[in-house]
Amino acid sequence: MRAELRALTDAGHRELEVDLAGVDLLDSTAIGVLLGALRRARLAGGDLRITALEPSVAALFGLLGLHPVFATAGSAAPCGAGS
Amino acid sequence: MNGTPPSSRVVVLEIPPRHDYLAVARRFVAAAANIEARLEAEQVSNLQVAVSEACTNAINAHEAAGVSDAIAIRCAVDAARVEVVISDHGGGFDPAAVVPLPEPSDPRRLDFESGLGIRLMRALTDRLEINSSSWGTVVHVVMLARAGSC
Repeated sequence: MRAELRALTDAGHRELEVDLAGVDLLDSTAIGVLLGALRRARLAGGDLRITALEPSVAALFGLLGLHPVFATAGSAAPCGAGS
Repeated sequence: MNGTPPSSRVVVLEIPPRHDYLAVARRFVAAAANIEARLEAEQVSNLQVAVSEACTNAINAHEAAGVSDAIAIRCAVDAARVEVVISDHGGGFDPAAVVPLPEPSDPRRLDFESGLGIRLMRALTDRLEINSSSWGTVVHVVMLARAGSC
């Protein structure tokens, strides 16, 4: 993920969207990668948005105080709900 | 922290210092916790994340020190608690040197890509103790069964 996000920002992409649907475990290393990509995007005048946060990952973001840091949209519905 | 209560069952796992073994460590801790401890599902999940963070730091320390020894994960389980001790031989660090994070509204917050693991461990568990020296680090986490769960 680190390499792919770096390649996108190095290629000049400033508006990034990371879809975390189905990702129910995100460790601090991965969160750090997202922070780094967010920083590079904002330095270039853009932003990084995270979509489809699973509840477990949303809880980790909350523990680290990251909800005000990242633009997020559309947490995933619980498995089976509405399907 | 105090010694392991005599009623606890002890299970030990050793993993190679490789990141692809983190999943093994997470499954091991969850399996041990679900045998006897009256932890809620969320607590088991939090414990898995905390142990994974500790093991990640241990693996990184072994890589940095060029050490190929196994990392030991010791679970002591009873109905009231799960205690996990993660021991490495990676050369140690200074837990007191972990810098406090800036507030989320502070633009400098984006500069902190690393160092989130310890904060996460502390937030996810009921007790955390880290002892580190030049020969390695021992991380001790405890998750307590909630009142009414036993």
